[in-house]
Amino acid sequence: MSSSTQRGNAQTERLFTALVDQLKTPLLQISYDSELAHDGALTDIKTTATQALHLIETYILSTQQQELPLEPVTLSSVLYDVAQSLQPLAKQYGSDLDLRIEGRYGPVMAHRPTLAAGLVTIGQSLIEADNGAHSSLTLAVYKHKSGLSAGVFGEVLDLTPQLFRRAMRLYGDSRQPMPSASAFSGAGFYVAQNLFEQMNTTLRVAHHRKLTGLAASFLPSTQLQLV
Amino acid sequence: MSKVLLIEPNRLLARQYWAALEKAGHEVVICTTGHEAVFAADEQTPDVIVLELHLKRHNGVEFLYEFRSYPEWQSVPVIVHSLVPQETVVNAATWHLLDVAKYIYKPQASLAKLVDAVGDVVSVTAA
Repeated sequence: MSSSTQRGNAQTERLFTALVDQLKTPLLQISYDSELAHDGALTDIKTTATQALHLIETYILSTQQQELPLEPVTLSSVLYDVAQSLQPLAKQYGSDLDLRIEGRYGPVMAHRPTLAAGLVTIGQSLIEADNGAHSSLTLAVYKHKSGLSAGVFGEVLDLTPQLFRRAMRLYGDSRQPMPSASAFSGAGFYVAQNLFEQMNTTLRVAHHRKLTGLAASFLPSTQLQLV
Repeated sequence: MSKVLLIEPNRLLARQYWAALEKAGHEVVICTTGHEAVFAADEQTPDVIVLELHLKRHNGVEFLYEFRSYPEWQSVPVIVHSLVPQETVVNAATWHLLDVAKYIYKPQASLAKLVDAVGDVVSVTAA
């Protein structure tokens, strides 16, 4: 690729990021108006606007291409926060949220805000993809051969590792990179993948207790062991 | 009733913040630039300032440096309520130097959070 083409692509990407950033203001206005109206019927609008704002934030975060400073993070506490963030959207779509933390685990090396943002983004995308067809979404922490895994799972999710890898390649080129799993573009999955890569891990299709979902593994923190 | 000086360049957002804060019992003066805000503060010293950092001409950080240079305004609490994430602007030491009471990142905060923050800051100052 010539240097002028590379510069053109970089400029297009910067312009796109700037446009996305500018979307925050109208979404905030929508969110605030629904809050000021004190009308229960407008709660859905606020939830939708909040979801969109979150996607914008995580997209902008994912474009920063940085190596994040990792620190000891307790996965279960992150999942509690993620569950709270997802609750309004899950309720809007008629889905229950289940938190499944099996055993007591020490902290792992991660970047807490990025991890939380990535899991919320996956959760939002799965809730939207499921569209209320099934009753629950599960947030889980469990032991994996690569360390500790944290992920978001659905009761029936027609997704395989091959489909997911193919979808990651198709983003930007296809309107429906994962048609078997989602009627929508599911851009949130792509954004979440970029976020997890900034933490030196990767999102994968995972199976946990008869559920299918997306999860990432993290190495246990050894810092406390030195004390 | 507390006097809030709101520095917000977007007219629609300013109206929404005004509505929420007035409903909570505060008296709100709206300015769209730091320059206007200095004149407004000169007319009547506010009990708290709510400040967006993305302003026309001079940004919110520049306004704060100027504002804090006046001895009579050094103790006025300031809440930064901005579209800019805190960690991308200046470091924690600078925020401490500029005596920012709270930093609220707009995309992650509701109107209720802003109203609560103003209420908290005003009650601490009154105590």
